Amino acid sequence: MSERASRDVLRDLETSRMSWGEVREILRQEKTPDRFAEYHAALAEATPFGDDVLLRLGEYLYVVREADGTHTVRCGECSHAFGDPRVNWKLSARVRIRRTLEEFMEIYHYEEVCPEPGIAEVREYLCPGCFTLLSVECVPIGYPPVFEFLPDLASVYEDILGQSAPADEDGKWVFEDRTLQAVQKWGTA
Amino acid sequence: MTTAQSEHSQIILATDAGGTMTDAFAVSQDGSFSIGKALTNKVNEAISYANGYENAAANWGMSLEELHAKSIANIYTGTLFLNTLLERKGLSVGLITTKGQESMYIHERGHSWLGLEWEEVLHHKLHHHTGGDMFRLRAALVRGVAERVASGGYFMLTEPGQVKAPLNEAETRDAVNALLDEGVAAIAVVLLFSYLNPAHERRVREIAQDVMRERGVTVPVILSSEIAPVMKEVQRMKSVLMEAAGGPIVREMLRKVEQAANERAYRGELATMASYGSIVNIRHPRMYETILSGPTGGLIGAKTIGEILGERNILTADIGGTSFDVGMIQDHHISLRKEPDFAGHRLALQMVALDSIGAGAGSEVRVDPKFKHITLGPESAGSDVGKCLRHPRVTVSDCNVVLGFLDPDNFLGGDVTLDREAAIRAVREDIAEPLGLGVEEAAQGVLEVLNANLNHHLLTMLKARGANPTEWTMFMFGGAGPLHLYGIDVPFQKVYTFPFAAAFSAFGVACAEYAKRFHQGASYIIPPGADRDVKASIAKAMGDAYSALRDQGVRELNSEGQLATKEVLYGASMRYVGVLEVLDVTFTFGAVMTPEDLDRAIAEFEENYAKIYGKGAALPESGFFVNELFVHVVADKPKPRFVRYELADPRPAESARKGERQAYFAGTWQTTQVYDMDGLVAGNVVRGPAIIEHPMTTLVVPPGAEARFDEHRFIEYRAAAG
Amino acid sequence: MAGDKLLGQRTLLEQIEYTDELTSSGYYYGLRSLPRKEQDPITYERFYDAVHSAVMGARETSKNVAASPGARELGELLFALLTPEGHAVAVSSGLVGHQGAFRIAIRYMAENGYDRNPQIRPGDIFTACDPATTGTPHPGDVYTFVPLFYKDEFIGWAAGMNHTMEAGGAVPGAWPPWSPNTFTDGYLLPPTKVGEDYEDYTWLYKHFERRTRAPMFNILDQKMRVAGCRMVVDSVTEAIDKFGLDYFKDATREIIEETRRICSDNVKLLTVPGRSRFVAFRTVPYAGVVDGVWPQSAKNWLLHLHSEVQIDTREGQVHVNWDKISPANWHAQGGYKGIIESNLWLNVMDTIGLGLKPNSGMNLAVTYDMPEGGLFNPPNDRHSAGNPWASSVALFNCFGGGLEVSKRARGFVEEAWNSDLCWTGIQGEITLKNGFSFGFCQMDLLGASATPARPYMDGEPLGTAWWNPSSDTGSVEEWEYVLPGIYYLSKNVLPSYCGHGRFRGGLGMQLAFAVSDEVQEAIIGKIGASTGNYFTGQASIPGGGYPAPTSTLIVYRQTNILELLRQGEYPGGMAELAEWIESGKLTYTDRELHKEEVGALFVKPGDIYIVAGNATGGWGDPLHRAVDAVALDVKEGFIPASVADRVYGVPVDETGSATESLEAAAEARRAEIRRDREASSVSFEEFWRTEREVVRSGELPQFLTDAYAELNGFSPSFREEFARFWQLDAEEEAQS
Repeated sequence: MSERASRDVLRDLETSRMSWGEVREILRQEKTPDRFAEYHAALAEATPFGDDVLLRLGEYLYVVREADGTHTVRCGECSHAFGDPRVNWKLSARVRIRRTLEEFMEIYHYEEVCPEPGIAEVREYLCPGCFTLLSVECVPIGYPPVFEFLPDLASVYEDILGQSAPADEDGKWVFEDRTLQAVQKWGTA
Repeated sequence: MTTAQSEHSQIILATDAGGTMTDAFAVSQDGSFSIGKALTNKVNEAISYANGYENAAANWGMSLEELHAKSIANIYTGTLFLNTLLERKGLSVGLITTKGQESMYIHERGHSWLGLEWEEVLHHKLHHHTGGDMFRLRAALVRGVAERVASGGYFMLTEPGQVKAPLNEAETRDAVNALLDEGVAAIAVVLLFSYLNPAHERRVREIAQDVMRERGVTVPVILSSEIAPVMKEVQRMKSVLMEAAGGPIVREMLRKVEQAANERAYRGELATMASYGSIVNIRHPRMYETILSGPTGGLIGAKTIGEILGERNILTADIGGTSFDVGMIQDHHISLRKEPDFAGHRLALQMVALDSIGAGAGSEVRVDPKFKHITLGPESAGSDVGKCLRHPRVTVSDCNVVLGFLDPDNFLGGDVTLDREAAIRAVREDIAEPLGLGVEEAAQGVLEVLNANLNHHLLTMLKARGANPTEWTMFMFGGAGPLHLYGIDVPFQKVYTFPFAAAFSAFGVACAEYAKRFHQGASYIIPPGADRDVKASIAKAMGDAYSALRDQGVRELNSEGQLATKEVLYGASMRYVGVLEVLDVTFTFGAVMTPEDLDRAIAEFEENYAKIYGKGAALPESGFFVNELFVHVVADKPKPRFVRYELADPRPAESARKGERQAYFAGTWQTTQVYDMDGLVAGNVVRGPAIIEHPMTTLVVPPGAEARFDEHRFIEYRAAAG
Repeated sequence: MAGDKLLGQRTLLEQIEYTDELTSSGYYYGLRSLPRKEQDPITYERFYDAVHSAVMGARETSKNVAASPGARELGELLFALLTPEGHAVAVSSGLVGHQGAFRIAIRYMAENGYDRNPQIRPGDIFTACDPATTGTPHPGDVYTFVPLFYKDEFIGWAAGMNHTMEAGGAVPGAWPPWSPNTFTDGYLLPPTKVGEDYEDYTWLYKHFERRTRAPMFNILDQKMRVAGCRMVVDSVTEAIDKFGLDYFKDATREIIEETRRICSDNVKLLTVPGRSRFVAFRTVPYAGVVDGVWPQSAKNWLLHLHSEVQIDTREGQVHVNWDKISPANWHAQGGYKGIIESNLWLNVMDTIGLGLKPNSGMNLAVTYDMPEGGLFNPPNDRHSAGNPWASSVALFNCFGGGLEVSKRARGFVEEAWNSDLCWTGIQGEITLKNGFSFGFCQMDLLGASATPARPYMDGEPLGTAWWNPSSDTGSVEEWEYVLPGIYYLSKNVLPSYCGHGRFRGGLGMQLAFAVSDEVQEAIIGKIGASTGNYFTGQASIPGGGYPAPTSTLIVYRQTNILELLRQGEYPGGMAELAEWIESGKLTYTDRELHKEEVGALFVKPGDIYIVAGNATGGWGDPLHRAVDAVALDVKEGFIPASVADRVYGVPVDETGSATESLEAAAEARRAEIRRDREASSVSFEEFWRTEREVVRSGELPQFLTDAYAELNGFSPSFREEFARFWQLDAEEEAQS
């Protein structure tokens, strides 16, 4: 794959500058271990973070290496920081809620195929910096936000990059979901 | 190339115009032939046609005019139709279909994976709709019109084809006007169930013609009920679109070629090949039926030779550089496929059942380092042969060079010299070492993979018809056919190849017959224990339909060069009520006209059905359903004859021996005799280990096997006697 | 065969336990190396080709015997070569997932001593379709097994399955969605010897005739499975003649272990380690449907289809944690182990299953926890498995979503998409005026889903289906021929029916039908997967765009459609139908709307029903979609100009002409929409406070209060996260 899926190829693919024939070629090629590095190179160019970009979390969000060695989730459009990857980034987003049929129909056009008002709500998670739409949830009212992807950074360093795991404020980086601790801080006042 | 001096007369010309090269093949009455090649002129194929025969004639010391003057038939096949569509150069077509079905061309009923290998089908990200691309369809070019015709489903009282909603003529006028406003060059009409009742499609054409008259324009209007009147709307639509987009362009080019031939003193009309393996005049009204033409030649050649040898059941393998095509002839009939997948589309078209497997003599060899799989193709070196010449990756040819099967100094008659050392290096580094094998072992392994692949396809094809290999004969041809002949390990009763293996397809085209094949969708239900009256009325209806189709065939053949009808075959696609798959049965007794004929037809259907699926699968208690009628009208045409030679002594003449070299058989290097194919005569028997060379092919005969040249110089490959 | 020892010295059960013991080493059959393969990789590949072409050939040939369009037209069938324990060595194309479930039936036969009684002999036919005992996901999936003997030694099985037309449940169809328990699921056969010497016993056909609504189809499908199994036995026997019995025994084990290894290596190669969670919701409204007879089913459920995928790139292992799934209950959307095994395999295939020999080795690369009493692990065998494909496909889209996110993060952009495929089934029973009556299930929208949007391209209508790789929805002409009396008014894509995004989801389809006057009466039902019901297809998707809209069934009663048809007029789809109703051209008495699944609606001549389904969701922010792509969508009628303006911020006219000025106009419009987003959104913390009040104060609709209570009661981990996230005190926790 390396000969074709160079940094440029991956960038062209993501900016959809490729014919189906070219895409099919890439799909058919053997998958090789150097891909992570190639993609990293492509992201270093395509994002504001240069080599500090570690991982792509989603269409617009990245895990970025900070100067102090910690890691932060950032928006690739405006660099807005969402904090520790171990906390669901949605807690740091702006959110727009749709609950009525009218609001649903703005997106889903036909009344007959819309979510059910009074039971479902559509949550649009937006970047506080640039108001790019980062993720959408359609869930029952009162359902906690979905923590879509919690990467194990220690293993990323050790298994994929072949480096030692990043340090943490209290020693070795721990792989755990810290969302609930973060909510705790809001208190119940 | 030339054969022994002979008076060339009654010549048949057969052209295969590929995307790059045009092969001009001339075969004389005595079976001797000459091949000329020319670069295909895509703008005007008449030019490459003439160039090709210029040099074919030269081989025989004739002028182009002499050759044409002595020619009695002229068949032109090629890839123009397919390339026109693939390069999206077809005419702009507008589609009128039944209202509510307008996005048929987008969703293709879900066929987003046609043309992928099975492993790729499992890789869902490779699924993608080709949809309207090939025909440049877009929303503005597709219009629906309200109309409904009943299906005649077999539980119903309703007459099949009964009109449930009359054609909405106002919508039809609007549709035609809208399409003409878009500047379409042809209008295709595909209405639901039109194969049961074409009235609405015909009315659409009348209205279209009125509208065009008013507007003072004319574009062809093509009806699915005339082009492909069979069930399944998406397949039917694809066929009609192909005809509308490509037909006129191809017909025009063929006219140019015919004109060029006539100007060179050829007196007859030009013909081409239909995908169902017959010759049709270039005035044939269903030009899309010729979309697959050249490759059918091999099967026709095999059928012709089979008749000479008295072989009823033949499996054929055409081994080329990039692929091998496997086909079959059962009871002297070439097996056809009803809904072939072609160029990413499923068509309503009778096409010779050729399975094309993407691995051939020039295929690249890849070894998955992690899991040690060997895979061949689909990429191929073509004229770059392999690392032994100038291809960047190791190929099957490299392996044949390594093992001494191909002579580096005598490849294609010595036109190019191959680098044996390079081949050895390539096989060692790219195959042997990753697999942890020796060089010879690895090369042999690659050939075994190719052979195994071939054998499994041959077996699968036989099983699919419940056939037993020992009742079948194998014909192997194509440039690399003789080279891989020894790899066959299916227990066929006989295995043959031919001195002209490399030109076999072109030869086959020359052997083809003029014929017309018609399929007409129908809906006759014969309930279990139907009484004579019921059967009589069905038989009457079938008889009338058969007569009409036969008359059309005879009419078309007459109008296309006053061809005298030689033979008419009748058959039907039938199923047990309930079963969806139909079985095509060609009746041994002719057309169904009487209740007794109908009983015979049912008996023959049941017999064939049991042969394939086993007695347990029968379901006579649910009744029978006739879903399609077909008629095959054949006209006479001169064919190449084969000279019968006196049988010479089995031992080849010394003059036929070219010397000896080392070749690798069954794990050891062995001294192997090398013969000159053209020096071997009828009666000669060459015992392995031996290699028989010909400028266009190489026949490998391993130890324990022998090649016998029979009275026609056909080569029977068999275990060495005694 | 000698005595009751089917395998020389072992009974079938002893053999299964022996193999399980070996496999508990982490290597299939304890194979730490692959000697046959390593000594001679070429012969090894040739052997696989031989057994693989055996099952492929069986499928291609035998499916022609089939009656049901599902098998014949759509290729909804499968043949496989199994080890004695029922592990698949090679499978044909078709409904490949089922290979994962075959071993469940084999184990059941072993545990119940079938090798002694009724005995397992050459040519015996065993057929099974009872989910609780055989692994068949739902009653419509039928399995047939024929033992494979070489000389007189038992060495494996030929297996065939297909999706049949009608299962004989309380409501007609192959997936009865209204079925409170196993007794209303239909005609369920535990593994049963139904024939010998490759010939079915007559009683089986009589059972099909009496206990199902499509006997002819079901009988022919049985004949097809038997014919195919016989071909597998014959071809494999030939292969053994060539390669030798010992080679067969070794190589079949190695082929499975090889696959497990490749799968595991693919995890290391293709994914990023970590945890991902996706969820889908479905509603199962039974209240008012079966109350009288089955009070325990007199309620409406919310299904919580939550998948947590844990990826370990060191061990190359994927683990799925379903500890937050809804409990099994008295409705048809739960199931047994087979549905999990089938789905798992199907999802693995296109993700970490690339480049291998598809077989049971794939199931070993994924471990999972399905809690006791969970939706697909019911506390007893009385639970219905009528319609588990509906809920399980949604659940497994969530599983797939985890892998897609992880592959994208690793850099395999080309391999990523939204993993929100869906299907919609129409089924029922038609009685014609001529008295003929037949049950059916129509697979127009089962044979293929729209393809999901990818990080680099839009989804496409009817493009793929991971439950049926060679996707096909059949032809209208074939369906109307098999299901006469119901006319298609439309089988078209439905404009703007998708999740929007930088790349669109594939457009869903609209099927519109008119009930003709040849019909006395008809019963129709609608079911489907990832149709969302009161929600979207999935709650959220990897690409972050809008999830797919739900499917729907709309019925218009006693319309004047038959009169219109006689005049050569009918609406071509939902849009025109709405216009005609507006203008009074189309009249009707009642209109019914069903987003949820429906078991049985009675329809009569003159009624129109419309089914929309199979849309997929979007990838990325619609405001990032290329302006000319939006314009083209409008031009081709894929979205109306209003949607282009409102959702995509491209103020294009109906002609969809893209111009320089359009780029500028779009820029302005998109800035405006961003400002609107700012104005209409709040910080998550602020949202948290208001939403928390709703949860605490019990303002939630009763339906949701009950749903959360059920989940909190069943899943400790859900209860803990729910309570801690909303910071509920003990008392609030108790009531919610």
